[in-house]
Amino acid sequence: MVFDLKAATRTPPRVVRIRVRRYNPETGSSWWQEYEVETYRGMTVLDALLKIKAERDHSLVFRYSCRMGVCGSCGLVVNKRPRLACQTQIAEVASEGRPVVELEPLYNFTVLRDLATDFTEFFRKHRFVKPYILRRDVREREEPTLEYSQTPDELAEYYEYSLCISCGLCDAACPVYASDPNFLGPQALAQAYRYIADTRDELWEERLRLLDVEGSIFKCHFAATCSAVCPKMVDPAGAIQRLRSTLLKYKVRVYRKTRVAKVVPPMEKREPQKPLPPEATLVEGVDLKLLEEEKPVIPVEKLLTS
Amino acid sequence: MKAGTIALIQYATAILMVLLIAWHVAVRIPWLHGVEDLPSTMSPEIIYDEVRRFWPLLILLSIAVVIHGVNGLRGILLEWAGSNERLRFAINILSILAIIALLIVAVHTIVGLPELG
Amino acid sequence: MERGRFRFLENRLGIIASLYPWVIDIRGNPERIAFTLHRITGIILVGFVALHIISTNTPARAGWEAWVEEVQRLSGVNPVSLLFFIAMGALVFHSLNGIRLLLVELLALGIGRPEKPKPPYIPPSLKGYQRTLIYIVSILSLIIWALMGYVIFLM
Ligand code: SF4
Ligand code: FES
Repeated sequence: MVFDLKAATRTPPRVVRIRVRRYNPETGSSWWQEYEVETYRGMTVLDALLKIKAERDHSLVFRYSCRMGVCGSCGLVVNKRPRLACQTQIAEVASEGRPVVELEPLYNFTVLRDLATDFTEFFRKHRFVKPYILRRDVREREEPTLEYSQTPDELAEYYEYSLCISCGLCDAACPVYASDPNFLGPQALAQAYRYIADTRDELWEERLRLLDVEGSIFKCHFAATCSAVCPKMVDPAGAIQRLRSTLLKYKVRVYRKTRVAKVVPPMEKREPQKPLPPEATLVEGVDLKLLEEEKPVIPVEKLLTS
Repeated sequence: MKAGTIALIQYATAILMVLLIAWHVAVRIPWLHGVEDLPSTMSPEIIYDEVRRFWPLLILLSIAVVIHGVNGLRGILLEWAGSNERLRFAINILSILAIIALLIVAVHTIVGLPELG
Repeated sequence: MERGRFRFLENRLGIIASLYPWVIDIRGNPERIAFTLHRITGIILVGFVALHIISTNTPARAGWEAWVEEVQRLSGVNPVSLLFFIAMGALVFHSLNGIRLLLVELLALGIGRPEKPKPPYIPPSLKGYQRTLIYIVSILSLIIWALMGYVIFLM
């Protein structure tokens, strides 16, 4: 998302009109409701909603949790653009000339009530691509005795995609997802690529074959709106292009995963400890030999009772 | 057919078409034939000569175009059809029929070309 | 969707989202417009190709005289030549943008390298040279289209 980095330093219009698209599942009716909210500098859309809920209308329903762009619960459509409510400054979306903020529930999701949407389908699709590391040696994966080795370069290949917070903004923005309920959606596909690009993942062929179906990557036509709205700069559009290219290369047999991480003993066991420099002085009463052999025990009971 | 295979066909025909259509359009440039306007580049003599000499290219072009076009439209329609299974099936069948029908016409154009009278 | 006495709202934007890019705010996202144009020109071209295959069948079906008549309909400004002109515009844009899409979709080129998020937080795929290609494609197709218009109408 192209952020207005200076937004938080500006003062928003003193009073903004918040228009909320509301929905009542009992009567099945949907309407626009308007609230006037006094603002302050640094107020986010979520703050405004909380203020409305506290002072005006306790029946307004929306979802949030962390209030700082980490949990991905508060996605909604602000002035026709999917955004995180807690990450969007009022000053960014309203101006003196147009002090109106229009809030709608996320497009392409089922609306439960007002601004709260149903993510069951979203997570079903996420689960479909097996968003976890697959190893032949399942036992080692579940009860690890050793570590997987990975270089910083290999990490950089997928690090960006691992930042996804499952907020669903990308699916709300996708023009294909808008008309095709069978499409897996940018989020799930980006996650699929995240695990295929991960060197620790061993059964990448299985995941590629899983994706070689109708309604998966080949429905994407690079409108790239998902990348444009993603609040975490995950770049799902780029991930999907790489995934598709990988799958097609795999199909014509020119692609092989170049490296699969091996299990290695942990770092500190591999390298012998460096001896302390002669000028280092030890705290009195500390026996280095003893510390290395047995782990220090923190006397919890003693701390609690004292 | 697997979705990936269809996508491969779509991209392969696309590459083919970029080249073939560039040629197909370029031969309609009037100056190449030393005539004044577009319709005269399509006089029976020129067309007859072209088809006689380049018929394999023309057949290839029509195959690529028809497959790429109908398959592309099929993709769009399937997307719009949502999860209505009957509709999806109908779209798939109709696309295959459309491909066959258009190709028959295209082949007839070349095979059935009358001698210049 | 219904569950018990609750009726939930399907909030899909539907077909309109792929035909009209401005249903959502697309600032900083010309790819969306290119996608819509690619789709619309594609639909136009399928129609054109079908008609074109049928009309070029004329010599085989009805002889060369009918073909000459058919071709004459393209000269001057009239509905047939206008439609032909529109189809040619669609063809040029679809081909040039198609080359760009081949690079991006088939070879995953022009979408940058994965990178760590840093201000101003523009994802690599929106910074890669595919973005420049969009502008090149649009300008080039306008130029070629204008040349074709010259050949069709003015010569
Ligand atoms: S890819 Fe971005 S927009 Fe999509 S769910 Fe993840 S964080 Fe949200
Ligand atoms: S409340 Fe957690 S992301 Fe907005």
